[in-house]
Amino acid sequence: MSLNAATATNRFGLGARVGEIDRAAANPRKWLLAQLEPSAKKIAAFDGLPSSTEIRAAHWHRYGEASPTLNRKLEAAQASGDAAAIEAASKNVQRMLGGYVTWAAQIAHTEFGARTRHALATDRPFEERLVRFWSNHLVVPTAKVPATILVGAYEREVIRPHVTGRFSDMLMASAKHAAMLTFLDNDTSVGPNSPFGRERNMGLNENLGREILELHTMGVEGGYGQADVIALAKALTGWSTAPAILRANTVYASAILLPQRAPDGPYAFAFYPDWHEPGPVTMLGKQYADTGVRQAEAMLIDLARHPSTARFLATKFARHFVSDDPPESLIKRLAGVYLANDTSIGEMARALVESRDAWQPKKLKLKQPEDFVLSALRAVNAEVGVLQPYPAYRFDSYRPPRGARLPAAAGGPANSMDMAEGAAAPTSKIIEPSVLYEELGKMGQKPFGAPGPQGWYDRLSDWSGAASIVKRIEWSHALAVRHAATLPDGSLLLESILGKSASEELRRSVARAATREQAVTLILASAEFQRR
Amino acid sequence: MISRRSVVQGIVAGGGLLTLAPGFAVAMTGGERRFVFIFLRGALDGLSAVPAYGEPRFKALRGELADGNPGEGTPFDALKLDGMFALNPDLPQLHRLYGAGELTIVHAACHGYRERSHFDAQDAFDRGTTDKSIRNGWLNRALAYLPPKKEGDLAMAIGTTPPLSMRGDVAIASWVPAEGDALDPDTIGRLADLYRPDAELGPTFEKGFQAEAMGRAMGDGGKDELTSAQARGFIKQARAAAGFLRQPNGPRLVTIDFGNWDSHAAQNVRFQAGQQSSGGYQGRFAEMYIALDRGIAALKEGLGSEWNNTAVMVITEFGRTVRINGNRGTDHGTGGAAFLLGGAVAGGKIIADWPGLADSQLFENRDLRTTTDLRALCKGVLREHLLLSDSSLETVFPDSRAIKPLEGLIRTKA
Repeated sequence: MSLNAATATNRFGLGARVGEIDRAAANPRKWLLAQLEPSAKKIAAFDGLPSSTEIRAAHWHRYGEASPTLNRKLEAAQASGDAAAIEAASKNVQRMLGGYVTWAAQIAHTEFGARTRHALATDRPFEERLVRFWSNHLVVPTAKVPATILVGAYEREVIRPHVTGRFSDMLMASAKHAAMLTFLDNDTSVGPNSPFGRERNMGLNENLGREILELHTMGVEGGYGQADVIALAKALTGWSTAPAILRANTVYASAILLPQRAPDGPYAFAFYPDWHEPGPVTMLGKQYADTGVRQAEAMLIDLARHPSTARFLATKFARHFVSDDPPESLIKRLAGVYLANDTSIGEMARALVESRDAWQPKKLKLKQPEDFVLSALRAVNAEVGVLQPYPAYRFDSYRPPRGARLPAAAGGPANSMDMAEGAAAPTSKIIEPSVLYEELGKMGQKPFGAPGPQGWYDRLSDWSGAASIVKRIEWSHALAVRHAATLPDGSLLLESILGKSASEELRRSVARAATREQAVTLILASAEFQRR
Repeated sequence: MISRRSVVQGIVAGGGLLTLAPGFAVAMTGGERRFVFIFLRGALDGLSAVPAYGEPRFKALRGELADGNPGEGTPFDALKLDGMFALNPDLPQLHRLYGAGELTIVHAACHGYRERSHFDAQDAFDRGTTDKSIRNGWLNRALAYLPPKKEGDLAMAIGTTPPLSMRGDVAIASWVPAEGDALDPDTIGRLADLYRPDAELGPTFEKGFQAEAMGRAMGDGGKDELTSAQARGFIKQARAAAGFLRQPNGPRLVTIDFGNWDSHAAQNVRFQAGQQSSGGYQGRFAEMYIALDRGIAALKEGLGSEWNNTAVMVITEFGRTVRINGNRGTDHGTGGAAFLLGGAVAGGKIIADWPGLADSQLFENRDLRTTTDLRALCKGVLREHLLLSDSSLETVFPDSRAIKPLEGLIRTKA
């Protein structure tokens, strides 16, 4: 029974904190299922974080106000020919742009810190794993700034509310969120035969339509073709944001918000009827009349309910929690439950917990780096610092907060300007979110930084590269050095975080460790701790 | 009678079979051959990298994305290769290599996959087949035909996660820049004992700490004004690759993944030094070309005399649409461009059975049609550079008998 408790906390949870295995021990399945019930408790770590519309308002300030103003001043200076004035004006433009990129990086770090602090504190770790799974399924990564600034808000607004509800609702919320619309370019996709398309000679961008079919719903082998991609992309024209930014530094007058067009308020989703490709479309053999915004809505609901979608989601879900190649019987069962319950992913999670396959004692999955880091931080009861919620600031006067460390992370926004030097006292026990953010990048999993719209890959071989494993081990060592003094004896710690799942070899090795630091390193860096 | 396979082994191992295979004498005396495989993930726009400016419809179809023609005198002038093709103006080093006969361009090329999913296409290329039941990579299968090194792994993937092309039965190394304090040898030894019983993670552990030690000995260096971390990262990785390839115990085959080429929007903006790349938009794609160009230069410089024994293949999963989209970008397409370069390459030529850009000549009236299968390029390189036999090529690329290896890719010095 207590092996199941260790499995519950490790395979379905975020890794045991001291005492957690004991709490799950009475009935590990029930301990998990209770986490699927809605909780009214507010998430304290998210206090003060702005909504996506608030963030987009600040973003708009850069495009709509600061950028045009400062650029006009620069042009005026250039016209005057006064060298000193040109230099001053171009410095202002540089500062504005630099501040903008720094601001975006700060948002990502703040959001990452809040999300991490919640993951360390939560007593509903299974729910948190579901959030992370679905966040990765309908992923918006930090690929470009207009989406980067929204990744945290997107998860709070699109993923969390639906994580035990219906997939069709989550899919709809995702396709209508500014983060997804800007990430996959649908915010600027215009029907070539729409009034706006004809007037401006604008055209279709099929990116979102394709990824919805390929990655969000049916899967690449789900049985759709290029014509279905085009049909969905056409139906999605006009699905944009208020205001829409069609080209960097340019805003088309007709795209600027008109109140009646943005029922969700400024800076949110907006449907522009005059961008919408007129006429019916046919997807998967079914015709959808041109009903404006409702055309693509109807298509998304049909896609969520498609058997290919059920199978695609069930396979990914089972692969994430059970094994790289999950048993066919389990996939069929999960897909069946999903379809029988109107696309309920909460019921799918329940069916997983209730299945026998999910509890096999052998740890077949390798933790992804971020999950590994969270489990290690939970094991040593580490604390992650709070970053001040980023200000809704004026770009032309922006200065990053004192002591902020905003390094350029791989693939993310890079910035060499406006960076405060020094900072982060290494003796502190509190871990800086920005430092942790960087460390994860080195392990191959920059937070919110999935390699593309397909999200992070999920097989052992995707994460078992030698370089990545070395980084995990080095990081474990550094964490152990920092925390060993405040931790219980190595063998006791091992018992409370891996319980009955720890092997004899590991127990012996930890008991024989030369120092307490070494004992903690051996636990956290061990192959057993990397697995779940 | 000695088989071709054993001749190959003799050469690569630097053994005493030289006199038995006089045709390969130069390969021997020059040292062991090096191969670098660079995958531009996200789909490079082949017509932007290698514009077909001599094609009458080119400017009309490409709109703002058509760079200036060679010699027009605009800042955007493409670099002339011949009367038909030019190079993107941000690829001056590649242009120099072409002039020096060390660069071959393959155009209107793609592999066997004809849909337009990045991830499926990349996997198909990495696997070397569209057959999804095969779960190891073509390079790993090719490694099986090369004799292992006495010390260290024959191949190395640069980056935290090895690409699918390198996964399979043959053990490989992988590496990313090291930082922080080294673990003490005692703890490493104890951890090694704990990792050994793990069938998957055990071998990984051993290799990881070997590469780590080698990497630490090499150091780093070099700065530039590029703003994208990915672009800078590639140059750094290319420099590191050269360092590894020069080491006596280092790898002879290295892969580098260079991602973020998915140019759906704002492809027309030029990069300006000192200007922040705001939101990855301003000049982001121009920056990628600059990084590719400088990375190749860093590789050449770092390899020194070994450059002459080196072939570098640069490919992408597919090309992009011929017409520009509504956002001054291009969507997923089919035929694209690939590069083969290095001191060992018989270059200065463009291999293209040009399909034309008339509507009826395009694939599905949107993409550049594929006239060369990239497996023909890969097979040609494996055969001429790494000296794989024809029969082993069929194992590396299953069901590809109809795709003949390209010939005359590698120099055969007299």
